[in-house]
Amino acid sequence: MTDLQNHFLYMAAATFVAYRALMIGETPVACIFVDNRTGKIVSYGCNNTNESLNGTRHAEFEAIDKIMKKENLLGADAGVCASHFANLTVYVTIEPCVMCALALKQIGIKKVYFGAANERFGGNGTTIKAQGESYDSIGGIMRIEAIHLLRSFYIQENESAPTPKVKKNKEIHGKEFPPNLDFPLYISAETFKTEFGEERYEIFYGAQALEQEISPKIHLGYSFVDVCSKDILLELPSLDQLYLNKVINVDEDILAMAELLPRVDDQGMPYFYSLSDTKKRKIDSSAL
Amino acid sequence: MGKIKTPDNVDVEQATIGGCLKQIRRSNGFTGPEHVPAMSSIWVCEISPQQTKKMVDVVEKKIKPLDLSDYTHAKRFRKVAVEGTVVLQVLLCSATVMESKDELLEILRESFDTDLDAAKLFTHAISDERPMTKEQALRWSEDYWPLSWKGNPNQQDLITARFDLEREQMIIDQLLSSGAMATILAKKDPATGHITVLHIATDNRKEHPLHHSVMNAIAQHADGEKAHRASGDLLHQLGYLCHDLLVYTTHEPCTMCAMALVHSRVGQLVYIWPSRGGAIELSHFIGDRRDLNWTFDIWRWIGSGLERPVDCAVDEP
Repeated sequence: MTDLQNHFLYMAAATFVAYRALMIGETPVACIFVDNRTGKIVSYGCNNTNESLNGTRHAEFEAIDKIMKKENLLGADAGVCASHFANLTVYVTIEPCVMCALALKQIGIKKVYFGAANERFGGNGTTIKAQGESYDSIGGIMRIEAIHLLRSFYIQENESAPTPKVKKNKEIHGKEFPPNLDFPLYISAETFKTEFGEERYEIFYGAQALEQEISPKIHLGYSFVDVCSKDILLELPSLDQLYLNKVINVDEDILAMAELLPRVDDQGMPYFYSLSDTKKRKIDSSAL
Repeated sequence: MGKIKTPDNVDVEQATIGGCLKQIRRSNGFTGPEHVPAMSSIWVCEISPQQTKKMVDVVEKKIKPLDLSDYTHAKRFRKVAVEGTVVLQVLLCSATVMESKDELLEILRESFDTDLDAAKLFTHAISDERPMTKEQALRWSEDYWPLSWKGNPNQQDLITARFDLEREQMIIDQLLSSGAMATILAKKDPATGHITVLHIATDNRKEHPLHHSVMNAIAQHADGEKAHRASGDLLHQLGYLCHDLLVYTTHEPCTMCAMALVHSRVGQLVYIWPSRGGAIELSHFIGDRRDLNWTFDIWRWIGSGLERPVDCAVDEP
């Protein structure tokens, strides 16, 4: 059985960054870059198009530029730069757009994991597979969480709230999700099997309009608290920049996210937290 | 409306103007009968002919404002015979506007009370592409949703395009004067048609692999806009990204840069050299794809200036 816990842990960190982006008024799409050799998160980025007035400042560019500076890669030999990025894996909540998909190729990235498909601009298979064969981009990890964060953002915009308040909203709470990815558009059968295991291949690969979600352990549900760890969030470089008032409160955020985000049951079906669930499944905050 | 006369300097066959600009359109290559258009899904409602006036009103006032899709190439109504009586089917909006039938029904029922039942509301396929030939128009209307045929849209755009070729030549010369891979961002005054160059940026990928000239030009424009806003300059009109700006590049942009132009909402691109890794005529026709949410006019410069050498020691401009 292929255990995806590690991928979920990193994607939870990316989801956390997206959540913080939402709290500071940016589009909640985010990524983290992980060093394959150490397992450490070396950079993160969230969409910054509103603040920069630049429509190209997507999460991936933000994360790449932090690395270029920190690792003194500006002006470095192209080969040196590429070999640095070849050791990094990207976790991004939404499939990279066509522009970012090619930027990741040009910078030398060899592996990408994403949450939900980018229906309008997806560059790893949804509209165009811009990276060709240069790297594999594997989607479907914490997909519904990514979609729900985006929906929370658009609701906020509609209400044009002066200060972002993220709370349960009846318009989107409990709303259905679009079907899972059509995996053959993104990766080969071989890659799918290697990444997700034979047992998930039977269920997910080539299935039409599947409502089932991928979970860390097959036939076992999860919620955000199950897959996230406070330690990994505290490891995020310059975490304080995600808090405008500089008061970091990761515990509170994890609980708020656990309540806000949809969960997946043992059958792989999405459901939402509701008060009546507390009896069945109480959030164990001591587990944080 | 009378037929528009083809200007003397336009070569319809070659899709060129004054021997300087060549129209680049994805669909210029897709005129054959085997071509299957890009399609999307629309909400359709069935009504009786008596309800037409009311429906036009609802569509115009309540539904169209919600829909960003462009259906100017499609017919709004079609007649269908159901069990011997004629009913009308109405194109309401893109299926992406309303995710559920209930949402749409709610809006319709505000005007139609109970005489609209849910069964008369369904989704249907439509060609997103405008037909290039009359034959395509007829076939796609038959197979999907009816389209209107007003002649080949590429040819119409070609003969109605207005370029001041002397001014264009000056911009091209300025672009080439840097001797490097470069991008110019310019603005066209909608009233006078006068073009002002705003920024010229060169390629800087030796410093940063992603700092291609297009990316640099977009960043320059954003920085300028930020400075204007910070200075409280009230005479300077607030711009949205690079909305409707004109872009001139020495080389056909790569996929990253072409998509950056889509995200930046530019109005027109003119490039000089097609290039390996180019994402327009050499591969994806980014900028001329309705499935990517934003399109702009694309031209290749074929006039003079091409003989000048430009440093291009890379694969993907």
